[in-house]
Amino acid sequence: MADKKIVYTTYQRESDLAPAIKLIDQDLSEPYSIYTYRYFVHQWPELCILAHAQNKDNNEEEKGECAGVVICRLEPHRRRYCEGFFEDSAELNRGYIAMIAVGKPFRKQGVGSELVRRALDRMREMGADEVILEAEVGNAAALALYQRLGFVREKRLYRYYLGGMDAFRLKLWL
Amino acid sequence: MDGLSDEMAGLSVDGAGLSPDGPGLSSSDDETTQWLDITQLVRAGTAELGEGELLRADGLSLFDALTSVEVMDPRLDMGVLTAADEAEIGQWDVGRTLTAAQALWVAERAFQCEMTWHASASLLQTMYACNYVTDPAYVRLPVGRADSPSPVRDRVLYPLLVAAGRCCRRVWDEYKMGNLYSEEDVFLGTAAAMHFFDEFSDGAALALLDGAAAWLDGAGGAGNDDDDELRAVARLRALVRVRRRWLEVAGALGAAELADDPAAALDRALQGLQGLRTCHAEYVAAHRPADAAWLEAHAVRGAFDFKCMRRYAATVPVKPRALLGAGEAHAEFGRLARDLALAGDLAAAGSAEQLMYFFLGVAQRDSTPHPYVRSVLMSVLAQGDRVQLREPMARFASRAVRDMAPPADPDADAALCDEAARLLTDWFRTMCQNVPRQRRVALKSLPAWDLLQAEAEALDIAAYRAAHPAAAEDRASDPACNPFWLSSWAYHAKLLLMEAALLAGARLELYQDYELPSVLCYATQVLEAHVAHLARWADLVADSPSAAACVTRWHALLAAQKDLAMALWLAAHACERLRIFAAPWARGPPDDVRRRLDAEPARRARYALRFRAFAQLGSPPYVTFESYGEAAAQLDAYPLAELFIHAQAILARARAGLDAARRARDEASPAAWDRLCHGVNYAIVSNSVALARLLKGTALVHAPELALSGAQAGAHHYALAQQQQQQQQHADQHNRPRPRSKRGRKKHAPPDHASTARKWQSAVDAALRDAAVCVRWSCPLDKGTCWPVFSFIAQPD
Repeated sequence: MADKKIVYTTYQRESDLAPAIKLIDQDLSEPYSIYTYRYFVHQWPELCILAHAQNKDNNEEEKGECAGVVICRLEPHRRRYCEGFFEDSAELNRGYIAMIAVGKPFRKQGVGSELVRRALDRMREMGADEVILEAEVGNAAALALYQRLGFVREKRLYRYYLGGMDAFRLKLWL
Repeated sequence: MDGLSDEMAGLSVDGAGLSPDGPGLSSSDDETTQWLDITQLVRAGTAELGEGELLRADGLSLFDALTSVEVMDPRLDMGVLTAADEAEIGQWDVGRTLTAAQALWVAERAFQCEMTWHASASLLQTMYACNYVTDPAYVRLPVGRADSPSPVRDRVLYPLLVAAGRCCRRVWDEYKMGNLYSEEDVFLGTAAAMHFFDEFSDGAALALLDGAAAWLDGAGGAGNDDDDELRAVARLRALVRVRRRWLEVAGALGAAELADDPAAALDRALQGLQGLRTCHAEYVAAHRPADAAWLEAHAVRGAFDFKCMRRYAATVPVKPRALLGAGEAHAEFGRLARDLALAGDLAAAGSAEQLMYFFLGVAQRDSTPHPYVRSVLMSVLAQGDRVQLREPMARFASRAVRDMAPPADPDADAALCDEAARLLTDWFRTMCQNVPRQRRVALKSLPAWDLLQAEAEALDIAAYRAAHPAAAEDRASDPACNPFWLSSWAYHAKLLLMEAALLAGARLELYQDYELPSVLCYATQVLEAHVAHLARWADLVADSPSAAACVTRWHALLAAQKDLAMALWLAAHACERLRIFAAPWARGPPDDVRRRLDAEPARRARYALRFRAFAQLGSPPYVTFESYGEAAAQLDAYPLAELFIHAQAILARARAGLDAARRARDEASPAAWDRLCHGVNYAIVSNSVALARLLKGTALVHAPELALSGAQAGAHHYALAQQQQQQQQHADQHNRPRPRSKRGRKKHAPPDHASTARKWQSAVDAALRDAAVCVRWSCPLDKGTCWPVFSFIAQPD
């Protein structure tokens, strides 16, 4: 992959979705419907960030292969509870990282970290106070990534996934 | 049997009738349903939409989005038929004559379905997938008739399936008691009108099984020279025995049976359970690895329709679930049968104290017991107004309080006992939930215990005033005068709950390395408060032998745990200083991320996440973020080696304390108490060994002069130096002249222990700092402990 450069874009149109879905389907154990994806990308297109692998000498109009994707949302949360931390905030805005996937050839190159970091930056700009997500208990790589970024394991969710695996709810205060 | 077909035809889920027409959308969901073709309407309505554009209702929530099903996606749509499914459905032959091996294959597959249903899958994708269970055309056949054209199918398989249905009914009825959480523990999505061969009583099903056993012993086994058939007959015979026992056990544990004659029903269940475990173990042991392939060669094509969901049009669709494998299913059943014996232990507990030991033990098991077992435990614990199926709740709680606080006024605390009974049984029930939920519920219920304690304090003060009318007013609220009987008990229970919640976080792997020092610091503070409380209480109940024994027992166990927590805190703090427990972001991300995460607000928020549930409690005092910072700063003043050595010394003290706890065991419930002590003992011993290895190992690798003998000598000098220092202080305090040697008389210079110890300490510190020590910790649940056990590995350069 030395001849490739990774370019990050936000969701623009429906045609962006198919390669992202393909990546997510390969990566995540949980199956999602097209409605799930559209729920996110239509309401928070700026929080759907795609990584494209382009040839270094390519012109910018060609997007290149989809190397990774992160899909998120941001909404006011019904309660605020971390005393002393959000004192200036009128309401708690909670971000949620719903899905993230990186293509196998592009792993261990920091693409996942960069996608999450960009999503966090974007959410911070949009007024997020905290971000949560769920990760499979056995997914050591994902847990390590999020923990490096400061996420804390808030709780464990019993049999959260369809296959019966537990999940950790992770949380980061922005 | 004639009525059976009508029953089966009327099989309904949420009012949706089972289609008698086989595959395809049912046209007979109910009489009032009218189907309308809306294709044109949808086309017209969406004509202006571009590709990917979405019409979304405002009410569409995240949950709706995440659980939405895409029609014709086989991963999501339970009803979509692939070519393989079509081929399978076409193979269903209701009149097929089955061999014994084929009947065994169907029975085994149905067993897998049953156990997958137990593991929180829908009946519609498990038990109801079996056409021999749901196809009315099969049920209309002359089952059980002596002249059946397929005797093994109708005289063996059919009784097995009827009995399986009855077992499912018993489990379903237990699940409907509302003890468990739908979808988390069990699948209760389609609760209405489930059919489990309800036209048969358990007795009728057992009679059918007896008939099957007789047929297998007689005609079924005789005159058959085929090895496969003989093998299958033998296994079917064993399976019939297992099923018979299981139905007997599940039947005895039914709500009506337990309510009618609890002792007899439990006795029957426990006796049956012994037989069940033996039968099932024999059945599993007889299974050879080659059997799976052999059995698969006798698969009955079309016997199972795992896309049967499409026949239940009015039912909320579920996502497809993979079936447990045969090995997994039997392993799950083995665990279920093993854990059901807990119901007997629960019923045998003679007091609330013993129940406390029992449930703390259940909560510390290495795996969450099967949902059916947990629900049965909850049903046996409390039904209606009865605890353990025999004692009224209020009396139970009153006894619980008086076991440890004997002089409480029996009239003054009736209302409090009602509330205590509710909280106590709720707590025990919480211990039967899955572990993540145990922790969450425990944290949520703490304020209620706090309130109970406050109410108990008011009662205690009123009782004191009544007993001492001449005493000064302020003496009533003075702990030195007022024993505070009731509130002492409530405080003890609340502290136990706090400790359980703190340790559950470690067990669930919620705490990351860098959080461990603060968690262990908090645990130390809670346990210290608890031990101090029990010490005071032990003095108060000294005149009551049974209460004194109970309080002393708890005191010994909790003192050992307090020492364990403190030792681990010191070790964890030292690891933090060595940067072994550095936060993950300290190594990776750019400075701006690190700065933000290390900033005080972020640290404060992380601290609050773990301990905020304790901040609202009246007692024990909340360990604030600042207090924790001060405590950590105090530890920072000690050399690293001293922290580890001190941790070792405290662990030795913990071990001695635990021996006292073991000696003080409750003879009425020795096994439960021993289990609690065993887990703590394992953590103490393992951590002691780990610390000894750390000091020895790092010294060996990095400073050969500090090898084992050196380390021992260093520790020895350290102890002597401490002793010298204390003697010096003592002498200084009393201003005693120190003895002087006689002039001119040559004496050996006394060894300078302090100097040796200082040198040794600094050498160990240097060795530890340079050592690339790797530390791991975990809670070895298989050893019965939720306490962290450290493992230090000195990595060579």
